[in-house]
Amino acid sequence: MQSWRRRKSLWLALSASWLLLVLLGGFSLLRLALPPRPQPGASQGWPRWLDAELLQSFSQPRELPEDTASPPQAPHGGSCNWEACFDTSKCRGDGLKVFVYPAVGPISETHRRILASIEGSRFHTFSPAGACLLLLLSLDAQTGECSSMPLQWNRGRNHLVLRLYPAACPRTFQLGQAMVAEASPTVDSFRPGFDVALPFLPEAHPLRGGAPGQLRQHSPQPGVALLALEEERGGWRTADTGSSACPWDGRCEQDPGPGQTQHQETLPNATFCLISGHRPEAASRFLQALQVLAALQEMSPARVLALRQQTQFLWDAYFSSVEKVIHTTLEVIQDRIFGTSAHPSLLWNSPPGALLALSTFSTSPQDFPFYHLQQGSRPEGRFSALIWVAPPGQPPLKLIQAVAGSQHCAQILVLWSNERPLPSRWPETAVPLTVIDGHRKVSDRFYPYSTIRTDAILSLDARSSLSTSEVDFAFLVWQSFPERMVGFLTLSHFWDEAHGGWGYTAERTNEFSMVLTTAAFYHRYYHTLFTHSLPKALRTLADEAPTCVDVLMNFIVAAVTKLPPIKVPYGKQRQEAAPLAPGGPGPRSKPQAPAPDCINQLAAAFGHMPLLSSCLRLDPVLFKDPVSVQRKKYRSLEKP
Amino acid sequence: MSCASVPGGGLRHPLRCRKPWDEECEEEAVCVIMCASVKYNIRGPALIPRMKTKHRIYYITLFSIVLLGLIATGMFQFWPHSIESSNDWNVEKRSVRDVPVVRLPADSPIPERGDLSCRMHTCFDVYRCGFNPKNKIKVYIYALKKYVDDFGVSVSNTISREYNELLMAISDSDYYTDDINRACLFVPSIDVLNQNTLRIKETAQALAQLSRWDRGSNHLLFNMLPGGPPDYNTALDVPRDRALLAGGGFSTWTYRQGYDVSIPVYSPLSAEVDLPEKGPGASVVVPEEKMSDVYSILQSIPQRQIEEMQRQARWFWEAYFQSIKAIALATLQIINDRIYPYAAISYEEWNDPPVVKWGSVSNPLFLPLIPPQSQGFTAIVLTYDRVESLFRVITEVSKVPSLSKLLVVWNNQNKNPPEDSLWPKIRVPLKVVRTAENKLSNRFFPYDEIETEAVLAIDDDIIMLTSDELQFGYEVWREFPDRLVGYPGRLHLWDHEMNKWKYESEWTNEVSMVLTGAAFYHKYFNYLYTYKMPGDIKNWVDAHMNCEDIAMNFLVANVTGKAVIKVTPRKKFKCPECTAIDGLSLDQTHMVERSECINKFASVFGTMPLKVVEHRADPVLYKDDFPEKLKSFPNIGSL
Repeated sequence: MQSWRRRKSLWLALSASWLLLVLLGGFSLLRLALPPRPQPGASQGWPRWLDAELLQSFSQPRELPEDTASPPQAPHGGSCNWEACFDTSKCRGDGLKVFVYPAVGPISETHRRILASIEGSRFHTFSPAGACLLLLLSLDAQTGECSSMPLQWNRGRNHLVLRLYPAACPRTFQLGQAMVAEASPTVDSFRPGFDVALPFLPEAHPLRGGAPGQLRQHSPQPGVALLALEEERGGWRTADTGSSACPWDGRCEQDPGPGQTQHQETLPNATFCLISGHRPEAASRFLQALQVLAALQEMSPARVLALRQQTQFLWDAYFSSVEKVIHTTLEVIQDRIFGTSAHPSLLWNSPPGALLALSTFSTSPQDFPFYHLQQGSRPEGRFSALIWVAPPGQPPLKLIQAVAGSQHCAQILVLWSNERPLPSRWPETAVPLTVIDGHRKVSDRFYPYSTIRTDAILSLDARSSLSTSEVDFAFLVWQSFPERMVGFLTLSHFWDEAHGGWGYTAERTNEFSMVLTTAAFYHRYYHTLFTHSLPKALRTLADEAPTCVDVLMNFIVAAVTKLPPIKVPYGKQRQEAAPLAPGGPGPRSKPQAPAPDCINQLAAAFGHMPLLSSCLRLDPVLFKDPVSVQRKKYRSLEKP
Repeated sequence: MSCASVPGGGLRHPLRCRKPWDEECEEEAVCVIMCASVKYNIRGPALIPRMKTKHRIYYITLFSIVLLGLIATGMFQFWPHSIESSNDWNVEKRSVRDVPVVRLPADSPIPERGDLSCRMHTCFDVYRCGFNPKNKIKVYIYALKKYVDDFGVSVSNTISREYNELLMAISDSDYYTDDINRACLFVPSIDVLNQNTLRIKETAQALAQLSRWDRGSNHLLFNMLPGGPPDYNTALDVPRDRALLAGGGFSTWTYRQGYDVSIPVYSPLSAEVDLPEKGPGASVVVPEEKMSDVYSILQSIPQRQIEEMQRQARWFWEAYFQSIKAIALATLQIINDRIYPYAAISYEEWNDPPVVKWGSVSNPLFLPLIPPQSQGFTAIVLTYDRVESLFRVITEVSKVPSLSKLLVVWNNQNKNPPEDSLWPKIRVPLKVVRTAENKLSNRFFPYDEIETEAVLAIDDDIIMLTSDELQFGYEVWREFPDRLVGYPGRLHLWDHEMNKWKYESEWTNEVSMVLTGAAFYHKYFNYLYTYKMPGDIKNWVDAHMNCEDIAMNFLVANVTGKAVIKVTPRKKFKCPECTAIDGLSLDQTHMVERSECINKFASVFGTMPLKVVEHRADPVLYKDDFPEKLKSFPNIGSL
C-alpha cells in the first residue's frame, strides 16, 4: 500500500511536472519558434486566408495598359466635352478674347446694357476672326425676339450661348458643339466640364456693382433660428435647435408642431437655410430639414463661422451683379483654356476672388498681396520708388536723396512725363536709378513697368517731400498690410445731400477714406489691375481729369480689399503747406477741391461706392510719448 | 475573462484573435495555460486522496488522458502554421478554395446595364447611412463564395491577391461593419478588378443574387482593367445597374460625374518601385490637339510651380495611390464626403501636402468686414472682491457710447456679490455671473450673455481709461475685428545669453502683445480659448494664476497670423490700490514668471506665433495742430 502510494505519488509528480513542462516550455518554445500568424476563421471582418500567399495577382504585367492614350472617342449623341468640342488653337496670346454677336432688331434695355458691359470689359474684341470665343446672348424672351442662327456658327464650335433667364426661346437651331451657360440647367442636358451653370437671376438683379452681402457680423447672433426652410409657395419656415431631430431611418412620427416653426414671407434671420433643388412635397422636405438640423447641430462653431463668411465672399465676388456672373463665366472658360496657368483653387476660393486676382499677372499666390497669411509667406523687405515728374519738370533731387536713404529702397524709377528734355545728370545714389520716358499721360503712372522688380511701390510726385524716417516707417507699416495703400495725406468722401451725389474733400477731418497717390506705398499688382482690368473708359477719364486719378486708385484698392487705406504720420510744417494736395501747379496754400463729378462718375462705373472710412492713423509706438527721444526710433517724425 | 471555463471553451479563445501581435491574443493564450494548470493543482492533489484506491488509477489515467488530449488539441492549434509555411495544404479549414459554392441557374436575373444617369441623389439611398454621430459610412463586405454555373464550371477565378488586400483594408478600417442591417455601403466579394478574367453574364448574375443587391443601390465595385488589349474599354462591361464603380481608366463618356469614383490603375509592379526624390513629374493637362505645343507649354511653367507640383505629386502618390489599401480608403473617403458633405474634408485637406501648410494660417475671420458700429460691445469685468474699484470701473465704462452690456464675472466663491440695490445704476444691462471656481480662464469663457461680437475684457482696477479712449478702441477693433486691440503693449525678446524668450514691459519701439486687462477682441476667441487651447496651457494658467493674457495673445496670433493693435499712447496704468498690470509687472519675480510663460507657451505651440510691429493706432488728428473741440476723440492720452 505504502509502495503503491509512493509509486502513485511519484507517478503523479512525474506526470504533473511533465505536463507543466510541456505546457509552459512547449508553448513558449512554440511561440518563439513560430511568430503568431493571422488566425484563420475569424468570425468578424474579412478573413485572413491561409493560402493568401498563393493568390494570383488580378492582372499579368502585359495586361496593364501602356501609357499611350486611347484614341479620342467621338462624342456620343450630342454630348460634348472640352477636349473634343473646343478649339483652343484660336486662343493663343494674352487671355480669352470674346466676340459678341450684335443684337438683331429691337432689344431690351437689359440686353443693351449687358452688351455694353461685355464690350467694355478686358475680354472683348471687335473681330470675330480674332476671337477665341463667340458669345451669343439669348435672353430676350420677353420681347419675343429670338436669336436666329448666327453667321459664323460653324456647328457651334467655340461658341458660348448665354441664357441668363431660363424662360428662353425654344431652340430654333441645334446647339451642337456650343457651350451653354444657363440658369438652373437640368441634370440631363448639362455637360459637366463643358457647360456652365448659372444662378437664376431675378429681373431686378443689378447690372454691375451690386449690393454687398447682407452679412454684418462674422458669427451668428445668439438666439437666431438655426435653420430657415424654403416652402412651397415662396415662404419660409424656421426651425430651431429645440426642434427634435428625427432618426435617420426616414420615419418621423412626431408632428413638427407650430410652436417650433413660423411661417414667413421674407427670408428670416437664420444661421442656415435649406433650399431644395427640386420640389418634393413640403412634408418630406420638412423631415429632411429636421435631419439636416441634427447634422447642423453637430457642426462646430468654427465651421459655421467659415461657411457664413464663405457665402458672403462668393456672393460678393461672383454673383452680386449680372456683370460679375458673366465675367465669372468667361473666367471659368479662360481657366479651361489656360490649363496650367489657370487660377489655383486658392485664388477662386478666398478673397478677393478670381475675377480680381488676374491669372495673367501670376498663378503663384505669393506674387499677389492677398495670400501671404495662407501661404505662410511674407512680403519682401524692399520697395521701388516711382517718381512722376510732371511739368514744370524740375528733377526732384532732394526727394531722391531722402528716398534713396531708406535701407529698404531697392531702386528708384523716374517717370519723366513733361516736355522738357531729359536731364543728362542725376544725383549719385546708393541704389540703381532708372529713367522712363512717359507718354505725358497720367495713366502712365500706374502702368506695370517690367522694370519694377519689387512687390512694393512707393508712388511719388516730384513735388512731394518726405524724410527718410517717414519712408522707413511707412514701409514697415505697409509690410503689415500689403494689400492696402499706405499714405501720408488723405482725402475723405461724403454724401452731399444738397447735390444728391458724392463729394470729397482734402480738408483735415476726423476720418478719411483715400490716400493721395503722390506719396503712398502699395503693391505693384494694383498697376496690373489699373492697366489690364479697368474698363478703358475709366483710364481715359483719369487722363482727362488728372485730379481724378487718386480717387480712381483708391476706388480700385477699396473695391478689391473692402477695407479703408492706412494713414501714417506726416511732418507738420510741410503738411500745412500742403504740397501733396491734388491738382497741378497752382496756389498751394489752399487744397484744391478736385472736380466733384469724378467721384460720381466712378461710383456709377463701379456700380456702388467702394470707399470705406477709417478713423485711425498708425503712429510709431512711442510717438510723442513723454519719454526721452533717445529711446525713440522715429524721433524725426516728431520734430515740429 | 473567467478561467473557470470548460477546457473546450478555453481552447477556442485563440481562434478569436485577429491580429498577429494582438495583445489580447497573448493574454488569452496565457490564460489557457493557467486554466489547465490550475485545474490540475486543485483537482489533482486535493480530490484524489479521498477516492478509493482502486478507482485512483482509473481516475488518474482518465485525467491524464483528458489533460494529454487537451494539450494535444492545444498544440494542434499551432501546427497549421508550420504546415502552411511548408506549403502543406492538408488543413483547408479557411482556405480560399474551401468557401461555400453557389450555383447560378442559367436563367437567374441579370442586372440592367450601368445606369448612366445615376447621381448620388438619384441612385444612392443616403437614408441607409442614417444620421451618424461620427459621420462615417458603414461598409459591409459580403462573405466570399464560389459561383458555378449549371454545369458546375466556376464563373470566375478565385479572388485576386489585390482584391483580397483591398477587402482586408476595408475590413480593418473604421468604415467596416459586420452587421448587414447597419451598413450603408456594400462591397461584394466578387472580384471584378480585371474584366478579362470574368464571364460577364454570369458575374452579373452573381451580383444580382446578393442578398441586398436591390438594383445595385449602395453597392460598390472596384475595377482596374475594364477591357483587354488592344482596345481597352473605359468602364466595366459587367451590367451593374446602379452600383457605384470605382474604376481606373474612365473616360469622360462613361464616368458618371459625382457618382463613380475614378481611381488609378494599380500596377502590381509599381508598389515595389521606389519613387525618386524628385517625384513623378507634374500633372499638366494638355489637350490632344495641342500635343505639338507640349514642349513650349511645359517650358512656360515657372520653376517655382514645377517644384510645387513635384512635391504635390509625390504627396498624392503617398497619401492616396501608393498601395491598394490607400486606394481603397481614399475611395471610401470620397464616398463618405459625398454622403456627409458637411463633414467632408476640404479641398485643401485633400490636396495640400502637410509640408506646404507649414507656417501658413487660415484665419477663422477671413472675410474683410467692418462690423456696424450699432452692434456695440460687451464689457466683461473679472472681479474677486475689490468692490469699490469695480464700481468705479463700471461707472467709467458705462459712459462709453457703444457699450451695449456689462457682464461682471464674480470669481469669489466665498463671498456673495453685493446686493442689487448697491450696484451703480447704468444705462445698459448689467449682469453678474458667478463662477464655480476662482480661475483666470473664467474671464475668457464664451458666456451666452455675450450677444455682441466685440468683447472688452477689463480688469476691475482699470479706472484710468477715458471714455474717449475706450470708444476709440472699439472703433479700431471694428477696423481690425480679427485682432486683439488693447491698451498696454508688451514685447517678447530673445535673450541671447540665456538662449530663451524674455518678457519686456519697458518703453520699447516695438509691440507684440497687449494686456487683456483692457482689450477688445472678437468673442469667437473666447470659444477658442475655452475649447481649443492647445496642450495644457489652460490648466497651466489656472494653476499659476497668471499669464492668461499671454496665452490669449499666443492663441490669436497663432490662428490669424496677425499682430496685435496697440491703441493710444502709453499711460501709467497705476492706481493706489492696484496690484495688477503695471503694478505687478514692475515686480521682478513677476517678470520672471511672465518670461517663463512665454517659453512654456512657445514650446506647447511648437513655434513663436507672436508678431512684432512698430506701430500703434491713434485717432487721425492725434496731437495734430487742430482745434481740440473739433476732434472726435480729444481726451486721449492725458492722465
